[in-house]
Amino acid sequence: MSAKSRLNNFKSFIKKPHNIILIVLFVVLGYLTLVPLMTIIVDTFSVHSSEARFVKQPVGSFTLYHWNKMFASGVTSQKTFYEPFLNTMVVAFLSCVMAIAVGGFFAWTVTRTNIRCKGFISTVFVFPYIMPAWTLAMAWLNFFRNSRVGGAPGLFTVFTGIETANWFAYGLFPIVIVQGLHYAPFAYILIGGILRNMDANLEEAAMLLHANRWQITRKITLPIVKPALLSTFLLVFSSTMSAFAVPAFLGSPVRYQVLTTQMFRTLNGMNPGYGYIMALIMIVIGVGILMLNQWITGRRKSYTTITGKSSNISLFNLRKARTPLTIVLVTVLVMVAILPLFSFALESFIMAPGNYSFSNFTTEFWIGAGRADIANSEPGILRNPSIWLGLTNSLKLSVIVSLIAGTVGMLAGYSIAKRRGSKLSTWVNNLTFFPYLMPSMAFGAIFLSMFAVRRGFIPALYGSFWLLVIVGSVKYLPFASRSGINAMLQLSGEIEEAGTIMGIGWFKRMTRIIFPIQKTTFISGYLLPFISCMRELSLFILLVSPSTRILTTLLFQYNEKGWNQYANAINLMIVVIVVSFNLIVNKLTGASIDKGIGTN
Amino acid sequence: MPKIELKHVTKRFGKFLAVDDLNMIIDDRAFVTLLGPSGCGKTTTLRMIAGLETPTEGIITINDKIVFSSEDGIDIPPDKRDVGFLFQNYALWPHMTVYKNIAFGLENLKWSKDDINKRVVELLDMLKIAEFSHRYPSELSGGQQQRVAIARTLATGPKALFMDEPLSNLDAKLRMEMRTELKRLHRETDSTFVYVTHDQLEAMTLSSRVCLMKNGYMQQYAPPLDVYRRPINTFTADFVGSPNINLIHGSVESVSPLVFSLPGDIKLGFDPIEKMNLEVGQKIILGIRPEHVAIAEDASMVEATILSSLPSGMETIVQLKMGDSHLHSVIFGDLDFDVEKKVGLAFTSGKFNLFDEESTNNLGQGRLKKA
Amino acid sequence: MKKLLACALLTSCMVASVFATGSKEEPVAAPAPVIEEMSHDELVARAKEEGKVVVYATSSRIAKAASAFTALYGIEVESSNLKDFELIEKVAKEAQAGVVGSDFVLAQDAGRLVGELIEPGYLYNYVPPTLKDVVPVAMQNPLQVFAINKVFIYNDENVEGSPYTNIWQFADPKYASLLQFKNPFQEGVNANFLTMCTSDEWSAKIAQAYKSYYGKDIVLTTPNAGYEWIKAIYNNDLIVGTSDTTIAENVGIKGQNAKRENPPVGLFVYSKARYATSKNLALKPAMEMEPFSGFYYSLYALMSSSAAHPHAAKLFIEFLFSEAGFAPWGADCGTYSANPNNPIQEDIDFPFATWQPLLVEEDGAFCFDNRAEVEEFLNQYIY
Repeated sequence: MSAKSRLNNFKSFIKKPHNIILIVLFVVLGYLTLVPLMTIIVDTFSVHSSEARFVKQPVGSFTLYHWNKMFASGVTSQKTFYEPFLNTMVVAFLSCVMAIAVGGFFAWTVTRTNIRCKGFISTVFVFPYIMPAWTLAMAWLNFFRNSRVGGAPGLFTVFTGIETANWFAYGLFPIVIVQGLHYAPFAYILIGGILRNMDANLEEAAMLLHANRWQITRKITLPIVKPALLSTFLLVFSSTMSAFAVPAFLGSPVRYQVLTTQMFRTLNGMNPGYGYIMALIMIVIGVGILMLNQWITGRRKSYTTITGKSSNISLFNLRKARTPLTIVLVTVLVMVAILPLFSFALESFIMAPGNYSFSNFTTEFWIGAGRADIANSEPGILRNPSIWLGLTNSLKLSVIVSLIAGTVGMLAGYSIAKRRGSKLSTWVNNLTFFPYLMPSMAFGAIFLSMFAVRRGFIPALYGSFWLLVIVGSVKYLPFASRSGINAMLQLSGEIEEAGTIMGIGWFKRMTRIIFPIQKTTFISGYLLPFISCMRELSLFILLVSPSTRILTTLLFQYNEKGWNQYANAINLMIVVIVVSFNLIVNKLTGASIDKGIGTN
Repeated sequence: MPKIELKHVTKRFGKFLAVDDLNMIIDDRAFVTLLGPSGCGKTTTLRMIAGLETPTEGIITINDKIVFSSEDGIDIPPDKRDVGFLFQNYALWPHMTVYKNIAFGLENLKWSKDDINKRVVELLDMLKIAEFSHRYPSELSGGQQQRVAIARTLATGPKALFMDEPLSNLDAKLRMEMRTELKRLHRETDSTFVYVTHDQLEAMTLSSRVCLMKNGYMQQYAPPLDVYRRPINTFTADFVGSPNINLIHGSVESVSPLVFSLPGDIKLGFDPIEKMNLEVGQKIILGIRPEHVAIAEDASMVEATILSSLPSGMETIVQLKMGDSHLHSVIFGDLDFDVEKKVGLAFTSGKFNLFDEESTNNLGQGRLKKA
Repeated sequence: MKKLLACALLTSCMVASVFATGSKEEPVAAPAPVIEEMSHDELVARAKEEGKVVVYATSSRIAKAASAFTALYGIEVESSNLKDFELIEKVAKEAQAGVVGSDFVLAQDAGRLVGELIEPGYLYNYVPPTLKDVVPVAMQNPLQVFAINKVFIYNDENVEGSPYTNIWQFADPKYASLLQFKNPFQEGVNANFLTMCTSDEWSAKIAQAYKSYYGKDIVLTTPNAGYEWIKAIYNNDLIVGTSDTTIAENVGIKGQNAKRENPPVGLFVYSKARYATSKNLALKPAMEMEPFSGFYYSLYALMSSSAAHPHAAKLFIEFLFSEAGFAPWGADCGTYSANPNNPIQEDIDFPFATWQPLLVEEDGAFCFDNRAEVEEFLNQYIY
C-alpha cells in the first residue's frame, strides 16, 4: 500500500464519526479502567503507610508480604482468604440460584400464563431491586431476629410466638434469601425479555410433535433460554460476589464472613495490601465470567435468531390454578416488596424499639428538633440540613451520572453496532463492560488513590463532587451501553443511510432520526444509571466528603450507629423517590428499567 | 381417514371477535385453503383446529372424534390430535441440528434409533436436504429452513397437516417451486392439508377447496374454480382472480326485457340463466371477469376508450373507460393497443354474475347482450 | 494503519499512567511548625483576622460546638463528621496530594493517628498555653480533649447487684453466647482495646484475674494471657454487633431477664446508659469487674501542618476545653473533658477519676506497633 493511499485510508477512517467515538472511548475508558487495574496490581506488591511497621520495609517499597500472607501462611491465610473466599462463592452461587429461580418463575408466569394482576406484579416486583440491598437485610432482622442478640424479638416471634432458629435469622440462609430477592428482579427482567422475544411457535411445534410439558421445558425452552439464563447467572453472580452490606449486617451476629467484609476491614484498616489482592481476585473472576459469557453467546448455534412474531404467543392456561396462584404470587410480592416499606414507615415512628403501643409513637425522627438523650441531638430528617444536603447531592449526582453514562452509552452503542465485528469495536465493547466486573468498593478505593493527586490536566479531585460523577459514570456505563447496542441492533442501518444520502449532518441524524426512533430504549439506558446511583453505597462510601455526602452514605451511617428510625425514614425516602421517578418516566416516555437491560 | 368438522366455532379475544360461528367440513385427503385478508381469523381457525388456541364456543371433531367441545368441556391437547403444523417462520429449534430437529418427534414417540435414522434419511432425501443434516438452522437459507420444517412436520406421519402461510417468507421463484413440492407431498403423503394464506393465487393453484373468510365470518367454502366462477358475493368475487374482477355499479332499467343502466348512459341487456327476481330501479353490481371483455371492431355491444395498455407478452392488460366506469380487460397474445383510441367492447363469452348492491350477494348468472 | 494508531495510543496511555502512578506515594514534606508564644488576646485577634476554620471530627456533636464557637467569636466553622478510618484516610490523602483540607482534627484511634498521621508530619501536637497547667500532663501528648468510656453494661431489671465480677466469666461456657461487643474491625478503638490487653501490664493482670476466677494458673496456648482471653471470649460465642446503639437496645430491653439464665451484657459506650430513661431500657454498668470494667479512648485535637487558618484552629482547640466548648458532649454522660473543671452528669455518671482506675487506657505507640498482629490473631477467632 502506498503512503498516499494509506493516508487516504486514514482520512476516510477519521471522517466517520463512529470511528472517532470509538477511538476516544478506547483512550478514555482504557485510562479509566486499565490504569486502575494496574494501580491495584502495583498496590498488591507495595508497602502502605499503615503496613510499614509490621512489614518492616519503608513505605512504597516492593514486597511479597501481602501475597505470602494471603495464600501461604497457614491459619492466617485460611481465615483471611480461603475461608471467606469459599463462603463468598457459596453465597454468590446460592443467591444466584435463588434469584434466577424466583425471577425466572415470575418471568415465566407473567409472560407465558394467563395469571391475573400482571401490571401490579411487574411493577412491584422491581421494588426489591430499587431498594438498597442491606435495607432488606434490616427488614429481615425487623421480622426474624431472635433472642441470640437480645433486645426486642422480631415481629414474627411477636405474632406467632415461635422463636426463629439461629440459622434462619442470621448467616448464610438469610444472606442468600435477601440477596436472592434483591437480584431476582434483575433475573426477572433479563429472562422475561428472552421469554417475551422467544417465539412461542418453537414450543408449540414441540407440543405437536408429541412432547409433553416436561419434555418441552427440558428439551426446548431451557436449552433456548439457556444462554440467556447463563448470562443472567453470571451477571448476578458477579454482583452478589461483590456485595458487601448484606453479609455485613446479617453475617456478623453469627460471625459469618465473606471476601467483601474482609476487604472492607483490610482496605479501611491496617492491611490495604490484603484488600487489594482480594479486589484483584474478584476482578479476575469477573473477567473470567465475562469471557465465559462471550464464549457461550458467541457459539455456533447462534441464538440471536430467537425473535419471532411475539403476537403469536398463546398463554398457558392455568385454569383452576389461575386465581389461587395469583393470590400466592401477589402475597409473596406484598411480603417481599411492600411489607418492608411498611415496616420502614412503621419503625420510623417508634421511640423505644419493639413497643408498638400508640403512646410509643413519635414524630421526633421526622420533624423533631433533636434530643440530646436519643441520638446526639440529631434533628428529625425533614428539618435536618445534612439530610437535605444529602438528598440534593444524591439527586444531582444521579441525574448527572445518568446523563453522562446514558449519552456516552448511547454513542458507544451506536459506534460499536456500526463497526460490529471489528477489533476496535470489540475492544471498546469489552472496555465499556469491564467496570461492571470491578467490585464497587475496590473501584471506589482505586479512584480515590488515582485522583487524589493532580494527573496531567485533571486536577486533584479528592473530596470533589466530580470524582463521584466520574466513578458513577464509568461504573454504570455498562447498563447504558447495553441498551445503546440493543437499540442500534434493532435499527436497520438503512435508516441512517437514508439520512446521509439526503445530506443531513451526523449530529442532526443522531438527534432527529436515530434517537427519536429508539427513544424508549435509549431513555431506559438513562434510567438505569439513575436508579443504580440513587441506591449505591459501596462505590461511593470511600469517596464522599462532608459537602458531597449522599443519602445512602447517610443511611448507612445511621444504620451503623443504630439510629434505625432515621435510617428507616431515609430508606423510605429513597424508595419513594426512585419508584415515583421510574413511574413518571415510564408514563411520559414508555421507557422502563426492563427495556434498558433488554435482551443483551 | 381424518374428516375435520367445525360446528358453530367462535373465538373471542376480549371484545374482539376473531371467528364467528364457523361451520365447516374438511373432507379426508382434501387440500383446503383458508383464504382472506390479514386479520380475518384464518390463522386463528387453523390454530383452533390444531389445538393451539382454545375456541370460546363450538365443537371441533377430527375423524368423528370430538377434540373440542365447549359444552362438554372436552379439549384434547394438540399432541393427541395427530396433526402436523407448519409455522410461518418455521419455528426450527436453533439449538438442534437439522437431523435432531427432524428426529425430535420420533424420539418422543419412542421409536428405535435405527427406525428414526431410516425415517430421517428418507425425509432428508425426499426434501433434498441430505447434505445439511448436521447444520444448525441459523446456517441455512430460508428455502432450506422451509424444507427442514416440512420434513420435521412430516416425520411422524400426521394424517392432517396444517400450514400457516408457509411460503410467505420465500422469494417468488422459491415460492413457485415449493408450491409444486407441496402439491406433490399432498399426493404422496395421502393426508389432509389445511393451508392458510392471503395469496389468492396460492389458494387457487393448490387447494381442492377454498374457505374464504372476512372479519371472522366464513364467506364462501367451495372448490377454487367454483369460487372463481360463481362467487357468492362481491367480496369473494373481488378477492380471487388477477387482475381483479370488474364490478360495475348500475341499476335495473326494465325487467322484461332485462336491461341495466350503467353510469355514463350505458345500457346493457341481460339474459338470466336462472330465475331471479328483480325490480325496476333496483341497484345492482355487474361482475365481469377481465378475460370476458373482448375488444372488437365490429359486433360490439358498447363503445369504450383505451386508457392504458400493459403488454406482457403472453397477454395484455388493457384499461378501458366505458361510459363513466373503468374496466380491465385481458387480451391474450402479444398485442398492444393505442391509448385514447375508441374501440367497441363485446361480452360474448363466459357467464356473468349479478350482485345486489345493498346486500352484495350474488343474485344469479346470465349472459350479456346489446340492449 | 488503524492498528498502528491504536497501538500508539495504547502505549502513550500506558506510559502516561506509569508516570502518573509513580508520583503518588510521595509524601509532601511538612514544614516544621513554628509555635510562637502569643497572648490569648493576640490569638483571638489573629484568629478573627483569618475569619474561618475547617475541622474534621469523628464526633457528630462537633456541629453544635461549632455553632457555639461561631456565636462566641464570630468565626465561621466548616465542620465535617467522618468515621475514624475515613478521617485518617482523608487527612493522609490530602496531605499527599498537597490539598489544603482541615485546619485541625478532632479524632480518635490513637494507634493509627500516631503512626500514620503524626509521624509522617501531617498533623502535629499543640497544647494551648492556657491549658498547660490544667490538663493532666499524661494527657498532653498527643493532646486529649475528651475521654470516652466503654464499659460492661448489663440488664439490671430485677437483678440485685452485678452478676458480673470477672472478665473470665465471658470465657466460661456457663456464660456462652452472652457478651455483645461491636466488631473491632469496624471501629479502631475497639481493636486498640484488645491490643492493649496483650500488653505486658494488662496481660499480667488478666493472668491474675484468671487465677482468682479458676483458682489455678493459666496455661498458655498463645503468647500471653491477653491473647488467651481474646481467643477464649470469641470461642465462647461472643455476639458481634454492628453498632453500640443497637447493642445497648438489645441488652437493655426489658422483659428479657425472666426468660434467660444470665442477664444480657455488652461492652459499649457508657453514654448509652442514658437510654435507661429516654428509651425505657434497663442498663447498669458492672463496676466491680476484675481486672477491668471496660476501657476508654480519647478524642485528640491535632493541628494540621498545612492549616490555612492556624490561629482560628488553635483558638477552637482551646475553646473545646472550656465549659461552653465541652457542653455538646457534657450534655450527656460517658464523655469526660480533659479539663477536670468541666462538670459531668452527676445523676448518672461518675467523675473520670473514679472511672480511670477501672479502665484499660489506650497507648497510641503500643497500639500502632502491635495492632496489626492482634488484628490478624483476632481474625482467626472472630469468624
